Amino acid sequence: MNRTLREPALLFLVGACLSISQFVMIRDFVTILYGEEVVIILVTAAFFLGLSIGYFLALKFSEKFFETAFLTIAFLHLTFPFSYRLLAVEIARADLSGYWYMTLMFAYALIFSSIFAVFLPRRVHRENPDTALKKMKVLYSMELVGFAAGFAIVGLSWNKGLDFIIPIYWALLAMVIHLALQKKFWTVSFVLIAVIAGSSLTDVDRRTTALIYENKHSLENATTLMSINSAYQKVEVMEDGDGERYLYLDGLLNLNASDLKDLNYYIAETPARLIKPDKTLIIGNGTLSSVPKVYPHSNFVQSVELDAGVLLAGQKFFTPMEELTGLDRWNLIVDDGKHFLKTTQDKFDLIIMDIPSPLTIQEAILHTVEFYQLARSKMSAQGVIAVQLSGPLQTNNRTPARVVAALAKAFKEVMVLDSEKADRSFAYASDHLPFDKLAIQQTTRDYEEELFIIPPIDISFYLSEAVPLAVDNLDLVLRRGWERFRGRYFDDD
Amino acid sequence: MIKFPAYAFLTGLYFSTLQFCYLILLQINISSAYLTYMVITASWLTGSIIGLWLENLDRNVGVGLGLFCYYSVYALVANMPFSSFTLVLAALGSGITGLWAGRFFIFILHQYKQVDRIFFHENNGFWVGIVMFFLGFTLLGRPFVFWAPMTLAGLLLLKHLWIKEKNMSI
Repeated sequence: MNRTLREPALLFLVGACLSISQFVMIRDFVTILYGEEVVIILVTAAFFLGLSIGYFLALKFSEKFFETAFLTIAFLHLTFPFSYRLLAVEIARADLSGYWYMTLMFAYALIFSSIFAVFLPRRVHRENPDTALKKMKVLYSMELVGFAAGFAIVGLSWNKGLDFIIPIYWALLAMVIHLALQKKFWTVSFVLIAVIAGSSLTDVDRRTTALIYENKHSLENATTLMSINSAYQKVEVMEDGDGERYLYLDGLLNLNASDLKDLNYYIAETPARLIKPDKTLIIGNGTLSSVPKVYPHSNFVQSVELDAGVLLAGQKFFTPMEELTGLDRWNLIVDDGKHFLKTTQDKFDLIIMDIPSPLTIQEAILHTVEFYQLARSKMSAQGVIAVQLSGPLQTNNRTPARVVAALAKAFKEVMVLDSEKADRSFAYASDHLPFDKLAIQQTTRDYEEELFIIPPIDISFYLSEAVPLAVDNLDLVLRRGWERFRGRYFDDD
Repeated sequence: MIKFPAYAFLTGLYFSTLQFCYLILLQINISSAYLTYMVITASWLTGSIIGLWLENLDRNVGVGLGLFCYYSVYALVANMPFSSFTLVLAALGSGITGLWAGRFFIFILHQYKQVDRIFFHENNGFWVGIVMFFLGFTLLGRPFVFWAPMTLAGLLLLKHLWIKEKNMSI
C-alpha cells in the first residue's frame, strides 16, 4: 500500500482503537475502583490525561524510539484484561494504600491512550508548511471517522462480555502495527500471540473478575456467573462459596438474593397488599423480582427498566422465567423512567421506585423533587409512591433524609418504615395516604415484629437538617461519592 | 497579545463544557437512554469532520453559531421536549456546534504551526472541562448549564478580539 493510502488508513484505525480503548479502560477501571460518579470522572480524566501526555511527547523522540515504545505498548495490550486486574488484586491482597490504585490507573491510562495520540502530530509535523494543513485535514478527518467506527463497534458489544470486543480491538491493533511499522515479523508475532491469548480470553475474564471480587469485595470463593457491558454500565453476577448470588453494577453491589426478599416485601408487596392498586408502575427493578409479588394484588402492572443488560442478568439468575410466564396483566418496557412518565397517558395507583442509591447524576435525578413532582402528576388522587432509602432515616443531611425531604416537598404525606431486617428504611408518599400506621403494623406483623414506623405527622422532626435533593442541588453525588472514595482508599482506619 | 496555549486550552474547555451541557440538557428534559448520548456524540463528530473542510468558517461565526444552536436547543427542549422533531433538531444543533471543533484545528495550525502543542493544550482544556462540568452541575445544577457555555464563549470571543487581524486572515 502506498503512503497516500496507508496514512489515512492508519489514522482511521488509530481513531477506531482510541474509541474502543476509551470504552474498555473506563468501564474496567470504574468497575475495579467502584462506580460512583466521582470515580467515573476520575477515570475519564485519567484517560484524557494519558492522551495529553501522548501529545506532549509526540515529537520528543526519534522514529526508532517511537517504534520501540509503540511495539512495547501494543504488545502490553495483549495482557488485557488480566494484567491490570491482577495488579489490582495484588494491591488489595497487600492492603496497600489508595495511591497504589491511582498509580495503577494512571500507568494504564498511558498504555491505553497515550500511544494513539502520537500518530497524528508526527505525521502532520513531517510535512512542509504548505502541505501540513492539507495533511491535517485528511488525517484528522480519517481519525474522527475511525473514532465513529470504533463507537459503532462498541455499540455492537452491548450486553456481551469483554471476550467480544477485545479480539476486535487486537485485530485493529495488529493492522495498526502493520501499517505503522511495515515489518511482517512484528505483525505476525502480534497476531500469533493474540490468537493464543484470545483462545482463553473468556476464562481469563471470568477468573480475574472473580479474583477482584474475592480480594477487593471480600467475597469468599467467588465465581463469575455473568460479566457483560451493557449500554450504561458493567453488569456482573457473582456467586460466593455458599451459593449466594450478588448483582454488581459498575463494581457497586446492587443487591444480593437474600436482600431481594426483604426489599421486595417492603417496597412492593406491602403497599400493593394495602392498596390493591388498579394500575401499578415499577421503575427500575431490573431483576423483575418484584413483579410476581405485586401481580396478585394489582389489575395491571407496568415495568419500566432502562438497562437491557440488567434485565438479562435478572432473568438468568434472579427471577426464573417460569415465575413471569402467564402474567398477562404485566407489561415490560425498556425505557428511561423519566421519559416514560412524561409520555404516558396512564395514571397509577402505586409507583414503585426500585433504583440504586443516588451515587451518579443519572440515579440522583430519579430521587429529586422534580422527578417526584412528575411522578405525582401521573398518580391517581390516592396514589402512593414507594421508595427505598438506601439506609435508615435519621435526623441529618445524609441520603435517606435528603430523599425523604424531596418526597415531602412533592407530596403532602410521607410515612417511613425502618426495617432492621432489610437494613434500611422505606418511604411511602402520597397526597392522601390510603393506609395508616396501624394498617401497616397489621400487614407486616408476621414478617417483622419490631418494624419501626414513622407516621406522616412525625416526619418533619427527621428533616430539620435535610436539604431536599433537586436537579439544581445534586451536591450529594459529589459529597457522598467523595466520602466513599476517600474512605475506601485513603482512610487509614 | 494572544497566548495560543491559553487560547487552545480555553477552546478545549469550551468544547467539553458544551458537549456535556448538550448531553445533560437532553438527559434531564428528554431521556437518559443511550440513544441520546449516541445522537449527540455522532452528530458532534460529523460536524467536526465537516468543519475541518469548511474554508470559509470564520472564528467568530464558528463560536457564535455553536452558541446560537446550543441556546436554541435549550429553548426547544425546555418548551417542546416531546415533539417528534426535538431529538433531530438537537442532533442538528450539536452537529453545527461541532463545526468549529473541526475548523478550530485548521485555524490554529495555520497560526501556531506546532501541531503537538495545539492538541496538548486543547486536550488539557477538554479534560479539565469534564471535571469542571461535574463539579459545576452537581453544585449549581441548571444555572451552570445555562451560564457556563455563554461565559466560555464570551471569553473566546474576547480572545478573538485581541488576535491581530493580519495574523488571523484565514
